[in-house]
Amino acid sequence: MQQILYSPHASSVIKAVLLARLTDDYELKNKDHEEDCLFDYPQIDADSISSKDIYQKYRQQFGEIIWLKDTNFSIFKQQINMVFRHSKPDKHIFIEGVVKESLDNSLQFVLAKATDLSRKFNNYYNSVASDIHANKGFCRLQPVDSAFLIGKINTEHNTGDLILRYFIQRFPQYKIALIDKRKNLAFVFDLYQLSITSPDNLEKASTIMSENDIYTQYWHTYFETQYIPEKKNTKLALKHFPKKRWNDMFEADFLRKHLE
Amino acid sequence: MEITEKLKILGNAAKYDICASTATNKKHDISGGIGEVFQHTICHSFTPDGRCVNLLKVLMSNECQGDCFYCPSRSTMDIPRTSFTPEELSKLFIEFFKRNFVEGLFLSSGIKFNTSQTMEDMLKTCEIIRYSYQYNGYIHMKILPNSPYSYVERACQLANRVSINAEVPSQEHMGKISKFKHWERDILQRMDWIKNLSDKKNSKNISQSTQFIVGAASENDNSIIQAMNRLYKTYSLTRTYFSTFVPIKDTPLENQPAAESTREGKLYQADFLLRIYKFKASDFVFNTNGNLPSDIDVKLAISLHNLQDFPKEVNNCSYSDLIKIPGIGPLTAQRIMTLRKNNIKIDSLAQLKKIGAQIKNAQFFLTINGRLQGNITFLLSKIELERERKHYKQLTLF
Ligand code: SF4
Repeated sequence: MQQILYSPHASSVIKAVLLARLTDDYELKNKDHEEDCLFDYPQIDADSISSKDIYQKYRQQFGEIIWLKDTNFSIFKQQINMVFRHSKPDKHIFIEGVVKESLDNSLQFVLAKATDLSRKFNNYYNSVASDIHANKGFCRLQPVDSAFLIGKINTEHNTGDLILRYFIQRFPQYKIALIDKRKNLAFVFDLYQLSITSPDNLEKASTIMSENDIYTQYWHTYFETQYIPEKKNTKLALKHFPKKRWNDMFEADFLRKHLE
Repeated sequence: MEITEKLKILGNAAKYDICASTATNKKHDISGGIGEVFQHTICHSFTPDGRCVNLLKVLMSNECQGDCFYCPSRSTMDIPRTSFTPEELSKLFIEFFKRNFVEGLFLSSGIKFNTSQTMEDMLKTCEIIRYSYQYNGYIHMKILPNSPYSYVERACQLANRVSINAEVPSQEHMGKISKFKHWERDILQRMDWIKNLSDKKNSKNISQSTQFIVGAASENDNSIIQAMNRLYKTYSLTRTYFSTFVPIKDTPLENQPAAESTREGKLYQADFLLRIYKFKASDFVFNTNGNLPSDIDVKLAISLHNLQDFPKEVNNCSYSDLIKIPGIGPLTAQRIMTLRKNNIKIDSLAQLKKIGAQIKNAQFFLTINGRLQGNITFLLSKIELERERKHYKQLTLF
């Protein structure tokens, strides 16, 4: 038996699955779990072979890979890259599975979620996408000086760097640090460099700043004015803003007071 | 007055303006500036009523020369009055934005001394935000009724979205809520200007929306839907919003009953069917009072009224027929079409459910490979039974 290794990105896993089809006795293995292996199998690293060579060999043996030319191919690759960021290890089963399914059936078949596997893959994709989306909105930033913003995020999946990139684009002239409380990490952008560090000092600084921040007080005042008590709808509020997203936001205290 | 007090008054006065969308195609590209826009909405908070708070939604001023009969800010009301200065409001907004409290600004106003002067203050606020603070993000600006053309034009350059509230479906209805506003002249004419400005260089892609107040002018849903359809077609509006009329003490409408709470939701359904599903205004089914039926889904009511058009065969009917089936939306219809293109046929209700259809209602209006999936008389008697049960429950309340 041979092992085909791939890294956590779409083009690598696609190459690995194609290689596997060209090889008789094989096992796919993501590089994250390389060390889990009890036995020493011969290994092929999908990243060491060019896509062009693999596609060409595959075409010779099995015919055209139609979905490479599909306009939705880039969407598919983007979805795979997102699912790689899911926190559960069984994501690899779904990723490998949908690539195989798209070869056996069609890319459209997978994107239309016509099978159990593609539905599960899609659920994982949605979960990662909504993790990013929620953190973009619910993260609170605190200006520490005129060009430095510190924020708090609470990620379920491996998405901290993507959220940081979003804020870098939004505030191009700023140094930005995002503290992920759940993971006890800080994602920092400074002088055009991204780094991941320990959050200790940063967290203290931002908490002290926000406690004395006049604009944070104004925000609390404003937020309270926006509630329309005659339209109270606990179910809807919790659907959009579930407790797992509450972090230590002022809005959460307000909700708690009115919902519980 | 302190900023906190101003925020309380001017935030509170703006909360009934419903719009929370920040989706836009119009970009501002100030090099090195802060903020950006997207084609989707990002929510930053939710209030206990389940509404998304993602905009600093305030009035420039709640001082007003207007006489709108339903409005708590009308000139005759004895309430605390205040205004922001453009400098105060722009600073407040940009500090909120830097803290990621909000995604953008929604700026409306009462008519302080006159329309022009108020529009000038609003425009100045937006100019400071755009050019002094170099902000590339989202701004929604209200156009005041009767605003001069040059101000409408400037607003279309500075904002990503502008809106002027239709409020009611016709001039006749307008007469029931205001003596000074003219529906065609003060409102529709501005919508027309905005539509024409949306093709101009600096205003390209500006979107416009509008809002109706449901139940203030004794109008019914039918008249709102006809008017909304006309506005979509004539002025290329992006969205319509609805706000339920609630009588306010000391206003001329204080004794008028509040609108039925279900109307707002039903009108949103109708709006979706018009815009996304491409139903026609003449397709809708109304009760004898001209309102949409409150006890069943709007699309289901249309289908039940047109039973001769059903069942549809899911494996060969067109996309536009698929989305007419209750329980099948554009996304599911698209998936069915995609599978069909790849020679994959739907073979069961279970499969249909898996790709997103709500089969509870859909099953009565379709066939799968020629086989009927549900008996429509069963659905009809279920609806009838439910109506009787509600009627009985109401009787026992007295
Ligand atoms: S113009 Fe009419 S709706 Fe607007 S604030 Fe004045 S009275 Fe109220």
